[in-house]
Amino acid sequence: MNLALGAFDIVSLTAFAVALYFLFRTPSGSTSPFSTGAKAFLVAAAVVYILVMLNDALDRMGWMSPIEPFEDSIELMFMPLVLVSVYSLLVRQKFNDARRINEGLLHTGDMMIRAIESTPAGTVWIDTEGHIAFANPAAREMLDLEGTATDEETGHPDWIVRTGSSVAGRSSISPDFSKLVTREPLFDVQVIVEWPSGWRRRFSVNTAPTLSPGGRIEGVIASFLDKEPWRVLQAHGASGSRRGHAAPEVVPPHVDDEGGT
Amino acid sequence: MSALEPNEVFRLAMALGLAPLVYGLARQLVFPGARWPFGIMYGAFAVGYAMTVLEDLAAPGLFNVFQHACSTVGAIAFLMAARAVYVEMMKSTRGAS
Repeated sequence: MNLALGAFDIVSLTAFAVALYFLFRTPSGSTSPFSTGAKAFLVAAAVVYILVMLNDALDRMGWMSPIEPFEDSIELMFMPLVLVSVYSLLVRQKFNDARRINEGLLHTGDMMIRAIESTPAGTVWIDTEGHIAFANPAAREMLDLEGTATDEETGHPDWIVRTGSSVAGRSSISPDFSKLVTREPLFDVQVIVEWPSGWRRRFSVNTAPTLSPGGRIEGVIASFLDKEPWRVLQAHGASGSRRGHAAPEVVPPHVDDEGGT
Repeated sequence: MSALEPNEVFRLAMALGLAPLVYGLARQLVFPGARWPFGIMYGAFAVGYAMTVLEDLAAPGLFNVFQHACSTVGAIAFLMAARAVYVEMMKSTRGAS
């Protein structure tokens, strides 16, 4: 019987000693899930148990007498020490995961914003009332929007927006883009925007709805491609700009290529 | 056979109560190799503690051996958990550098 107990103790002692070696060799740090605190708690737990196993030998040497009254409590500390360590590991892991995901999302968001800002296609976000709540630089130029992309006041209250028949099977006229706000994505919708000064511009528009987490439509992302702006200008003979300034020089591409005709 | 004293009941409850808690935490660790050793370790030590408390209730000698056996299993599982954490952290350190 005593031989079995001795063998068990030797195996346990060896296991704890090797475990201590691994614990000391394990890299830890503030950015690692295995923090210095978690490491210290695991080391303390291993030391506690080694102390308990060597209890008899240390007792004979008289080293245990100062802590003899707390002997049982020290043995019980093993479980809470490992518990705190494992909990610390878990919390730090979750925190690091959340930080990595957040950094990834910020990076992706930054890339998307740069892509939208640099694209030659006009890109706007239209809310459910048909008002433009965001516009990239190309859209601000195409639609002659005032203010910056983040301004709430974008668009012209005196616009006339003619939407082609591909939307709900019929054409429509409205002062905003509300006809483009649909739950289904739209492709190559012909939209003509008229300014009070006589300016008209024809666009081909694609849309994709943006939904809330509950599935409610919050608006649409719409991409505008300008359809032959120079021809529209010629056809309507507009002499002023959209706001009554001097009209920008718009020249058909083939005229420019030929060096003038 | 003697009745359990209040502090023994407390120790027994703590030993058995903490085991599933730690096993649950260990299962969520991203160190896959450390999950089951932590679970085995806590299970073994919980049973070992329970044996310590209950040794008065039956044959003391047999319980003593059983308790030491549980502690040994727990010690080996502790070693395996420590090794798994070491391996995972070395991997992530190499990956980061």
